[in-house]
Amino acid sequence: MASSVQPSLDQAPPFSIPLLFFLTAPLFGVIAGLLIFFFGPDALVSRWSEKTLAITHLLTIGVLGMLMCGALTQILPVVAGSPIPGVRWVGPIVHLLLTLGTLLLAGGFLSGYPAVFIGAVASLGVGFGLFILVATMALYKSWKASSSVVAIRLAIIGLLVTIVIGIYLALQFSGIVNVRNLMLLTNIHLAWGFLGWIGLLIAGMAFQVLPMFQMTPEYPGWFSRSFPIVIFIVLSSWSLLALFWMPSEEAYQLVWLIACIYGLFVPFSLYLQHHRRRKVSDISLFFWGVGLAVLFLVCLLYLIRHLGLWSSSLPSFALLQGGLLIYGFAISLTNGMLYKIVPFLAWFHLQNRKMKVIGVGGVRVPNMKELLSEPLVQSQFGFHLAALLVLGLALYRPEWFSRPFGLLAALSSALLWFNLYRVVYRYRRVNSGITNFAKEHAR
Amino acid sequence: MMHSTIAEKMSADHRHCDDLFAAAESSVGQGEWGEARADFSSFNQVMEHHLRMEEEILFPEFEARTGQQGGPTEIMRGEHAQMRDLFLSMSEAVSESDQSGYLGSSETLLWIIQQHNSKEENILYPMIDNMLSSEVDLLLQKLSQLD
Repeated sequence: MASSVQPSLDQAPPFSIPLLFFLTAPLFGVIAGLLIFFFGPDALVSRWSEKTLAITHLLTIGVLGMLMCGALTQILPVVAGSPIPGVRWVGPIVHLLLTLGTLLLAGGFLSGYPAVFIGAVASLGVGFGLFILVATMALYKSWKASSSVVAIRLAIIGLLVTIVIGIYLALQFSGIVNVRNLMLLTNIHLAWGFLGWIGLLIAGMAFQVLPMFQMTPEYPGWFSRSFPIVIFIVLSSWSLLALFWMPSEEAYQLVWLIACIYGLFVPFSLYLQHHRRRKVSDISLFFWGVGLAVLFLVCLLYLIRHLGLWSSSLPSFALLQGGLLIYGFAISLTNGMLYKIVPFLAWFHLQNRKMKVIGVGGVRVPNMKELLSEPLVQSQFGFHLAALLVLGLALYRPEWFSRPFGLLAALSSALLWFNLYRVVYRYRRVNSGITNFAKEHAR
Repeated sequence: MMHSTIAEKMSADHRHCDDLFAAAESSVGQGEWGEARADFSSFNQVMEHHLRMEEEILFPEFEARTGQQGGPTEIMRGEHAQMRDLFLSMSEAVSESDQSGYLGSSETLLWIIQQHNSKEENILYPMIDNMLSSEVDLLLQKLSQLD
């Protein structure tokens, strides 16, 4: 048995692989912010405008999809005990195709050229398809199906559904197919993207990461085991019902159920966090707190609308919901995560190499906090929070606030990129220090 | 407490180490240096004992059974060395009352420990329980006798 299912424990991919994804994602945030700044109110008026669609996909694929894929290359070996096969060549190919595909998709929306959409469909289809394939291979071989692994498996199916419908919709824009129920399919596409793919992945990681790094009690077993499965079943039932049997508002009752379940995730997480054994706190906890608060707010807004209390003088519910989920929930959480994972990986790879090349002593490897500059991280948190508040105002008064929001969002992403790049810069300096030390002592 | 598997016993010991880690970190965070030194010292002792249980008892048994030395246990030993490097930095920091130095190293240690524990609890310990199932009682006894 040992030889056939022997999981290797040295499955960390080279630092450069997750880093490619992590350093590219904030740049898409900068592009999206600048486009909002240039387009002004046009960017935030209707969810159906081409400008809004371009910006939305720069954020969901360029920032979030990029980060999630990068994080999975690193996290699957630890959580599932099984590395992504061929990650050294698959990683850069997926990264290239996602980068190209995102730019083409945004270009397609803005230019309207069918050929550009076809290029986007090809790049994103192959890029995500390849990623889904290798992630599935890794998850299939997983040693133990913890609730995190179950959530991640379902999230990958969620990604597949999102991409397949997305491609179909993009072909509509390129004029190749004529989609009859465009509005419904778009809603299903984004529901799977938010609630199936990103939401389940974040929940799956939280089940594992919160007890580990914040030393909170575990999520109750019944909750972490049933949460991903219930979300997945309800989401599938709603999509099928709405598509084939009940194409009316009635099927939306099920989406309301999903909002309630996600709403439950927040008090659970906050309760656990309140009982954490670790007492020190830092900036990534603030990012996590903001993300959770926004998720809860979105669930509450859903309740308000469900009860018919959403007045028409208020901003478009769909835009508000999308803006808050993308920028306030998912981008906040992943931004905080980056400030932990990048310095840790830099330290881990430096320390590993030093031990191999030099052994104990010799060159000092700076720890995670020394690799990151805390004051700059704090100011980036300030920019992010300011951008989020101005986004709220911008949806209410786009003509006044959309440009300031775009500028703040671009600045926040640029500073995030700079802070991560500093870690990499220090990594390179220490790394060449290790090389020089080894050379000198080899003589 | 009695445990019936290696995974149970060693995972419980991980939780115990976590508790002591959190206590030391919180004393350092509050600048209570007297307490911090005592807390760090008991954390360091319990950690070292845990690493020795693996390096002196579990890993050699596992290597003898699988006939491999460059496999999973080699990686685990490498990570133990990384942890010991951080124990040293933390020990220096705590004796010099250097708060930011300690917290920087302890944060880093927590990360390496947690991903290391996760691999052990999810993969290595269950493998050991599986492969050495007939000897688990004897191993448990040896583990509790290690001073």
